[in-house]
Parts: sequence; C-alpha cells; structure tokens
Amino acid sequence: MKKVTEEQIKELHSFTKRRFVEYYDVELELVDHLANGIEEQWRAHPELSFDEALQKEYKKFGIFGFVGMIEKKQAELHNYYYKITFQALKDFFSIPKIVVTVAIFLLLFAFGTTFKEYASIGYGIVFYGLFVYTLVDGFRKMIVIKRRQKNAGKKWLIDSVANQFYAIPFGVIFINVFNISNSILGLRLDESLSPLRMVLASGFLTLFVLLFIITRTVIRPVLNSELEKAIRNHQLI
Amino acid sequence: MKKQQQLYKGSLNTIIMKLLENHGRMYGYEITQKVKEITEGEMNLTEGALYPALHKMESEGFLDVEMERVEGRVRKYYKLTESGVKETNNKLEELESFVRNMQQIMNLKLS
Repeated sequence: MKKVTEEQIKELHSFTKRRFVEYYDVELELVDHLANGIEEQWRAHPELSFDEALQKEYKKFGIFGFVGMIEKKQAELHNYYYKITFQALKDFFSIPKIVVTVAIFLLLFAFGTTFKEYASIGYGIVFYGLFVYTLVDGFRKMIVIKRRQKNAGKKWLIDSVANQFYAIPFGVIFINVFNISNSILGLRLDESLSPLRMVLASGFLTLFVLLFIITRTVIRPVLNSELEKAIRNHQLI
Repeated sequence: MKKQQQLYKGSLNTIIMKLLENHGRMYGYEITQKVKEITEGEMNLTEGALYPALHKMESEGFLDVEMERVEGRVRKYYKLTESGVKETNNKLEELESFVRNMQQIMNLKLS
C-alpha cells in the first residue's frame, strides 16, 4: 500500500502553514490527519497523486478550511473560560465564600459613609487602580508569551486564548460597564454621594474586586497549567 | 440524510466519549473513520466539528492526550480521564432517557 513519505510530510507541514495555521499543536495534528486521509484514499485509488488526494482531503474541512476550524476551537475555549469565570463568581455568592463578598461590600460601604467627602475619589481609585494594574500586568504577560514564542519558534493554540484571558474577562466587564460605572461613581470631587449611590457603587466595586480575584486565582492558574501541559506533551516527541 | 446530521450534532460529545470508552485511546482521524464504519456512512462526522469538540473536552479535563511519533509524523491520541469516564456514564444515561422519552412521544396514539 502507498504510504506518505517523509518528504510529503514536510510538504503537509508547509501546506498547513500556508493556510494560516500558526499554532504548532494544531499543525501537528492536522498533518497527521491529512496524511491518514491521503493514505486512506490511496487504499481505494492508488492512482491518485499526492496533490489530488491532499486537495480532496482539505475540501472535507469545508469552505472555511483550517481557519474555520481553528476559530471554532478558540470559540470553544473562550466559552470554557467564561464558564469557569461565571462559576467562580457564583461561588462567591454561596456559602462559604459569600462571607468574603459581604466583607468586601461592607468595607467599601463603611469607607464611603465614614469618609463622605472622599467616597467618590476613593471608589474611583479602587476602580481605575484595579483596571490599570490588570491592564499593565496583562500586557506584561503578553510580552512574556511573545518572547517565549520567539525563542521556541512555536505558538500554541492556548496562547491565543491566554493573551486575552490574562486581563479579560476583567477588561470586557470594564469596557461594557464603563458608562454605568461612571454615572454610579460620579468622579466629581465637589459632589458627595447619596446613600443609594453609595450602595450601588459599593456593590459594583465588590463585583469588580471579585472579578479581579477570580482572574488571578482561578483563570490564570488554569491557563498556566494548560500552557505547561501543551509544552510538556510536545516535548515527549 | 442532511437533516439527520442536526440530530447527531447534539450528541457529538457523547458519541466521541463512548467510542473512547470502548476503544481506549484513539486519534482524530480514527474517530471519524470509526463513526463512518459503525453508522455505515449515515453519520458524517466532519473534521471541522470533531477537533473543536475534542479540544473542548480536553480543556474540561475529560480527555487526556498522548503524543507519539508514528511513521515520521506525530500522532495525538485521546483517552478518557477518570472524570471523563464519569461524564461518559452521565451523558449515556441522559441520552438513554432522551431516546426513551422520544419513543414514548412517537408512540402516542391520537385518541
């Protein structure tokens, strides 16, 4: 039976690269998949050329080709990480972690009521401070990823997700609620917050702090271990 | 037959997990071929659906992967983890009760 030669394997690697498969783990799996498909076709039609068989096999990936598949993979991963975020957030509203949530809320509220004239600016500092810190830190992580990719010459699919989730979902929340938050927090020094706005601001900031904690204690460790796993798995071969 | 694909779609993960339960470890291409073989070509598991599904189950911790060099290329094998085995049983139970209910609905006689 006709087998795919090593030379042709190399060609399959460049074939996938030409079709914008930039992640090494995805590339390896696709190369094996295509090679299997081509050999399967040769079983029935040994007269087919390598290129003909390859084109036939590639067509099976649909009109969006490899890119479509990769996007779907990424979407699945994104959903997964949003799911863990939401789950972790839910945990903070059930026993025992709700104690932490209530404590954060009360602390913020007590600060606002005790130091009325500084409430607005205090909340603003917490809000923008956390955001800027996460953004800078997320950016720093992105540089680390970029450097590793450059040194190793390899990118992993999880990298594309990691890049976003080091700072997001935190960032997404920030952008989406920016307007609401601004009107709640009302960063004007000349105006003191009404009790209702104090409650809203404390509640909102509590949510924000929780997301900050979740990003750092839940999302990042999972991402890091996934990254390590990808590297480890591919070292064995 | 085209419409049927939609029905299979909802059970994609269950199908993959059941296959892995029966065959131990498998690689992507093998899974597509096995599905074709068992359903005699009725179900067409597309590459574009298979790999994202595998990836998702891997990140959820239901699947473990093993890499191996085979015939000059690298092969990625998937197998069920402990939690994957549990999930498979849950999914199969769900599917069974779904099928049972569907049958009951289908068998309803108009009175």
